[in-house]
Amino acid sequence: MYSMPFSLQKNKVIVAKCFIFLCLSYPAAQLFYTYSQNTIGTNPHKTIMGVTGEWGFICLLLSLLVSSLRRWLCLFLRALKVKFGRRLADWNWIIRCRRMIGLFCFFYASLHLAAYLWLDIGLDWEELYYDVKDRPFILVGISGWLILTLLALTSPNICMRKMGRYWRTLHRFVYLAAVLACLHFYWLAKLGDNRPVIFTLLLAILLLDRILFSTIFSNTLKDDGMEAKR
Amino acid sequence: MNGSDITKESIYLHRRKFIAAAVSLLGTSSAFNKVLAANTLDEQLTSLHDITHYNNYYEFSTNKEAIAILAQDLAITPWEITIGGEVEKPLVIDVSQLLNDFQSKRFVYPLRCVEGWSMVIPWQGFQLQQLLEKVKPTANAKYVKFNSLFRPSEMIGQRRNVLEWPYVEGLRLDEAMHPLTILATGLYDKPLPKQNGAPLRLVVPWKYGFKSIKAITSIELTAEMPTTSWMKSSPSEYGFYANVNPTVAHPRWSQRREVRIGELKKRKTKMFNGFENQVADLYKGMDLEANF
Repeated sequence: MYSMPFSLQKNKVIVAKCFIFLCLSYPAAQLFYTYSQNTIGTNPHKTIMGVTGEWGFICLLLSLLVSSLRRWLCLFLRALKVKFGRRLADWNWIIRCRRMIGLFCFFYASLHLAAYLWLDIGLDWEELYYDVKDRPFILVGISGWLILTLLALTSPNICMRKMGRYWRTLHRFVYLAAVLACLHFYWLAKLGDNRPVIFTLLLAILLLDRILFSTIFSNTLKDDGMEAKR
Repeated sequence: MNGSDITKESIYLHRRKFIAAAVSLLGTSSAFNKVLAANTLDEQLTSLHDITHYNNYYEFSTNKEAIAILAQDLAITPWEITIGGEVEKPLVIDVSQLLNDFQSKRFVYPLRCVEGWSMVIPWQGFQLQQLLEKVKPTANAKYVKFNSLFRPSEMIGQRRNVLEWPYVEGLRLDEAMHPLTILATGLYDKPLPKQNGAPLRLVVPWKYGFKSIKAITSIELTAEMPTTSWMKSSPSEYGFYANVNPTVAHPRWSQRREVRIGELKKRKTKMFNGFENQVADLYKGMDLEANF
């Protein structure tokens, strides 16, 4: 039988991961490239802080989108009455892309914090003391980053196995990190800047989706034994 | 061919520094000397491109990089300025006449934005005290209120109520009469670009940039402290004085540090933006934490 040298169907997780990797590395690459070319703009400091913070938040939302997307795809394909993709389990594979998105979130959040510590306060810990005292959103941001650090450290498969059910409990703290990120963004955005509202609305949609599917629509997507529903 | 094709900017700037130093040595007027002495700033000027492409001008947009484009639609001739209120000789004057009446001089000031960035700008202009002396404030005059233009057809940012329009700013009379306080009509030896507040703007170098109101249409001397646009918008964040003060924080921006445009890392902010020796007397005995 003729066999394809590379099966897109069999390698869909790898292909999706490569695609996501390229997309999510782009903002950081762009930042380094424009800085090296001196085309980053008038205020590189603000651009670096803005881009890293914003993309950290976007990655956080994208990682929360994955499980919602799985449900939405399933419902959408049922409505289309096509053969494949009507079962929740058909989309289990997209969950396997989630860890990388989460690690990108940690990557951008870490760049954001590093830029703050190095470029803003110049590694002067007295300045950090005054900043935290004067502007509570910095403490909120650092708390969020600490949560992300714990999640990133416990992300390998071996941790997942060793920690058992505690792993799931710990990783639920991503919701707290998301709320802290919203608070952080609201607090620092200047008058007339709508981005925090947009980000908060997106987060609200994702949270509402979870609440609806675990209460009102909990029977709509029946567990057929093939999916990783808990 | 224009001038910059013949002489490189860095060279003619260097020459001007030399001329400014020479002028101060000759000793013209004592007030002017004090100003110049304050401004033998041993700091590099921010480039003309950065000064004209990174502006806070909410009348057009809250996006600092968009102002350079959006502001070009503003019609600035003719431009009448009304000076009234508590004065003996009220005045309505076209800005071109104003430029004839007052000889403009060069003032190199650091501009510190409340958002935590700063530039060093070579303004041309004249001292506000010269204009105020001409209209003769009455004994009742304690404050000076400035109004900016309200024209949403051209200032498209005014179609959103981000702030109450027109933009209003104010100074105490002694602050307005201070020799450092100027009305700017140009920068880098060119007429004031529209995005920087053409045709006439205020520059108060020891206060945060938002005090330096752009596109002034009227100046009114008052007995009562005027309520500025920013005080109305968020009284807990913006006070009347808005002096550059690293020890009093804004809820969003630490005022202890600033990023000088052209640099990557932040630097420490100086009290009164480096003009402590010249202006600290104005606020003797005042609680600067309460009067922020």
